[in-house]
Amino acid sequence: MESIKLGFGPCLFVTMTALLVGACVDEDPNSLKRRGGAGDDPSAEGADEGSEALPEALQCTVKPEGRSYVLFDGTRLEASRVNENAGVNRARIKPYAVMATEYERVLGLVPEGIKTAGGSFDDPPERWYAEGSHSGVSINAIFEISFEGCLAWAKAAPELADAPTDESATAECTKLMRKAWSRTPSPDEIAGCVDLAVNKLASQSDPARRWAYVCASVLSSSHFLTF
Amino acid sequence: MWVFALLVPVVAAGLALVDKKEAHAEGAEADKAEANERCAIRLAISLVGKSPDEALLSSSNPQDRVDEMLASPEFADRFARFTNAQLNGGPIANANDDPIYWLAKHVITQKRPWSDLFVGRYRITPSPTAGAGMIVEDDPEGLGYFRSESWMKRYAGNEEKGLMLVAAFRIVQNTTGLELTPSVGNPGDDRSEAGRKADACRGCHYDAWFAIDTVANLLPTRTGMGDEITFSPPTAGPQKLFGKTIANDRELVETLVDSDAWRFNQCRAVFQFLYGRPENQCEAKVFDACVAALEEKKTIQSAVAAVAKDPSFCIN
Repeated sequence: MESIKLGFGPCLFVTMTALLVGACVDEDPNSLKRRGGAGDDPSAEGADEGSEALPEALQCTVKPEGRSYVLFDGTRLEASRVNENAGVNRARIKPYAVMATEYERVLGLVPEGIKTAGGSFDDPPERWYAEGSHSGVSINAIFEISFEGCLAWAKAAPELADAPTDESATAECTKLMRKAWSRTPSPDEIAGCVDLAVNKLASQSDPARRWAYVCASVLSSSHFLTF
Repeated sequence: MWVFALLVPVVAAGLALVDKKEAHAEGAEADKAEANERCAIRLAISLVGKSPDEALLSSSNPQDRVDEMLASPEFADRFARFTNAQLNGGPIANANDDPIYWLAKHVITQKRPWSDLFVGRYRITPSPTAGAGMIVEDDPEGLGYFRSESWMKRYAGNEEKGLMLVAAFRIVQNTTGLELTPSVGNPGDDRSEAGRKADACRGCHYDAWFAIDTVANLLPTRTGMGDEITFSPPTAGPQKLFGKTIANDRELVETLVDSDAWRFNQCRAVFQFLYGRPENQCEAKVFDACVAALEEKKTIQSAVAAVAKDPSFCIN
């Protein structure tokens, strides 16, 4: 546990940075800067108001002619729709209930820690529903649980017995990101992962733990935590 | 020989082109496989709250499995939970006191029209076994969950003469999505009928299309509080609402459900369920398809399918 704490700082930083970058890049169609979540009132103060802050690429430029829906007082209900383009504002946080099987899908195993971590994720009670969301507590929990699962994964993989090299890190990062994210990672994303594995974690002497940190950073990224 | 020498680069260029084309085709195929995988994950989590199985994950068209997912008990539970959270103020610990969840699940499982949740003739009573949930049975006197004792007690309110103002707001809110900002009065404020007729209050209580006091006049009245609560039939008689005379709570709810506002609210809920947000301006056509499905096929499954099967659901 001590060595987890020693290595946790830079990795959490990388993870948090990845999440923040994922959440803040305006042009990212999967941006986490959502509006109109549960409980929001898109009709309040005029629905188009928010679009002023939206880059043009994210706005609905070709508005389809749709039906009109009239309230009892004559209000046109469709006027409450926000001005967003199709295909943007799509990322949703995966609910706690699916995280065990998501780990299994990527790692082939379920970390023990996820089974009893509902409280850290505000898992809704019986017969209730809540849109997934993350807090400082859940992000910390997801990294620790990811690390736990990744360590078991790394120890069970003979090809990860040695410390990462440029070549092995490139291969494993590409494979892991592709599986976790369901898309081919970009060269920049691979380079960042390789840099973490080969350089930033160089002080970690245990190859399995080093691989586990790399893996945990991928499994704590917004691409894995959203759907 | 020189001819051959000249041809070599041409052939090489041709081969490179073929290689590039094949690589491009392979790339496109890989992109498609990745898009399908993301689509499978999105569908499975949205509809049934689970990761996709291997077959769905590798499917060449995951949206072909939408109907199968909509027929599953996992969807019935997930959409009933979602509806319960949309239509209630907070979760209830006692499973035997949670009528919206149990009726929603019944309506979905039995593939009944979604309007049955609000106007269906059902009786919803607690199971005799603690924690076992609620029993839904046919009852000609039923009115969705609005006449269930659990719901009436929860939203009876505390108006001095027993007028169920909270229930009145809930009925309009649950059916049309009406959102009001409650005003917080000061100690000593007159909250009686006369007080509610004052300028600051009469808008919502008497003048608006949803006039809360007028709606409440169609509902039973409450006597007592807590476990001692009892209800008496309404005595105010027919009320003028929505430009016509409404005789009772059934006519009230049927009028609300037979409106654009109800259909709009249901499909907005469908978007909220599938996208985690309401529909936007660019999604008007898909939204209309949802409403059309609800009008024609009546079930909430058909409305959800109209959105989940649309190609736009799996883009990005």
